[in-house]
Amino acid sequence: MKLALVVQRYGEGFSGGAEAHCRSLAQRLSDNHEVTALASCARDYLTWENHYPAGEDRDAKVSVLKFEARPRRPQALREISERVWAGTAQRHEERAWFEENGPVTPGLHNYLEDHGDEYDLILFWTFRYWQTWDGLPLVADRAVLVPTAERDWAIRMEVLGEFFRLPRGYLFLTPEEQTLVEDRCEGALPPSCVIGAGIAPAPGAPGHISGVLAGLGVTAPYILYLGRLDPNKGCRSLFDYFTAYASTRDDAPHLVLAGQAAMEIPTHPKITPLGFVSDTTRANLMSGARVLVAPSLYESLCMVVLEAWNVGLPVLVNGRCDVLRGQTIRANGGLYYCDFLEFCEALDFFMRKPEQASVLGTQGTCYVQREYRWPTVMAKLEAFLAQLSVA
Amino acid sequence: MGLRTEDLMQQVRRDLREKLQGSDTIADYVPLPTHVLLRELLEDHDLVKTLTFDPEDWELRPKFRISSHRPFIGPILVFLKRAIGMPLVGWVLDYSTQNFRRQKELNDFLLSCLRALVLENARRRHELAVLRNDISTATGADV
Repeated sequence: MKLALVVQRYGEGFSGGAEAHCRSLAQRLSDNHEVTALASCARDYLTWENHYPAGEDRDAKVSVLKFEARPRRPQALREISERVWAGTAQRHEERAWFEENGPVTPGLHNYLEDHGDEYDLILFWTFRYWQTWDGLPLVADRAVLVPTAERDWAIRMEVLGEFFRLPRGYLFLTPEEQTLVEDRCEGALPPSCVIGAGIAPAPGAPGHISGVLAGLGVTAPYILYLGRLDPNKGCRSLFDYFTAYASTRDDAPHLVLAGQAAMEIPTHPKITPLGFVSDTTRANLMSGARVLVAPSLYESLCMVVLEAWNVGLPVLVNGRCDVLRGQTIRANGGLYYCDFLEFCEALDFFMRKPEQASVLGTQGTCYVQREYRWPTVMAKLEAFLAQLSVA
Repeated sequence: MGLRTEDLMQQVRRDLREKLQGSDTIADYVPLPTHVLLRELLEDHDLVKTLTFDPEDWELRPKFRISSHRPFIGPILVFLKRAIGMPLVGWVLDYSTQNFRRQKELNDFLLSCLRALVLENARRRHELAVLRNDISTATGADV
């Protein structure tokens, strides 16, 4: 098949989950198909400033076409986002929101108009960006949407009800995301498949890590947070909960934070911020942690949770996020909390029952083996794309 | 035999209930500051709409948008619906509007009560935490 993959940014080293998901699928699909990635020239998702040259490029067997983007207008986006967030925006304002959110790439629009029918299927990543909003209707008869939808304010926009009817098919990351989009779609949801994301088996457990951890200033026992430190990722609640928890327990574990900080981190003797860490350090940290904590309220799929299970580390997740709760229940790979008291009690469980915690981690590994290995994911994807292309 | 997350969560909640019912251990749990409680409530988009609603947003107006998804005959259908359909069902809209107005008054009253209760609850929790802390500091006893 001849496939195009439309995504806001394409290349190596993007931290965004959608970009990484798109690229990993593009590379594997290119083994059997002719694959072209269509993206903006931007590197920064906050400004959409053009960083890469427009035009053709290659990523191994994947052809890449990049189009210039209009830089984002932060003030205009902020103003319209407030109205959309509050639910007071009119439909025309909701449509305008996509334009302000960007990346606006007129070249991509023209390319899809002129060459869209040359592709068997065109996959679009993330419903919330202009490229999808503008481009998908141009090629709806061959469009496959990977919405990466979360239960946040953007999904509530009224205009999405009709929009979600348009694609030829859907690829979802979790059953919860599928349900969310199905609920928002006006009419029957087009054919869809939950493929998740692939994860390779972890290399063998690191050897003696106590010296490495001591070098980082990490004291066992500890619970681990991995990823960007951001209020939108639930970190503020995590800090509030943890400091309150630690203030009542002399034997409270440390909280180790590994990731770039986009917020102020409280100074606390039991909180150890490490900043951005290498993959090796990340593996060492996961190997020595008692539990991984995932406090985010909005997720379409939490890769960090899969990474933790991949190495047998149990998780403690925000139970108010249906995706995280659903994943954890399906895997039997950890516990969840819906408020502060449950957070305390669940954390006590992990600290006081290490054997049971270890069983949960092992069950998480089995779940990843069963559902998230690349051959499994690609088999589902290939079968679904074949079904769509002949339909 | 493996462990089931839901079974463990039941156990966790059972343990929690028992601890909270035991008067000598409840002080193990530090009530969160008021601003944290409120922020948690406000992070929930539905609740923020409820608690910080603009009366205009909650005006119950029967939205009766006449539209058609058909590309070519759509405008004609819309015209016919307006010309023929509206006179036939207009009285239903008038009737509904009166009931919506009464419903809105009740909603406003209930939402005001809800907001007051949430704020009062958060304030009481904070006061309780301060009092517990004061007594504990003065007497050295768990309260």
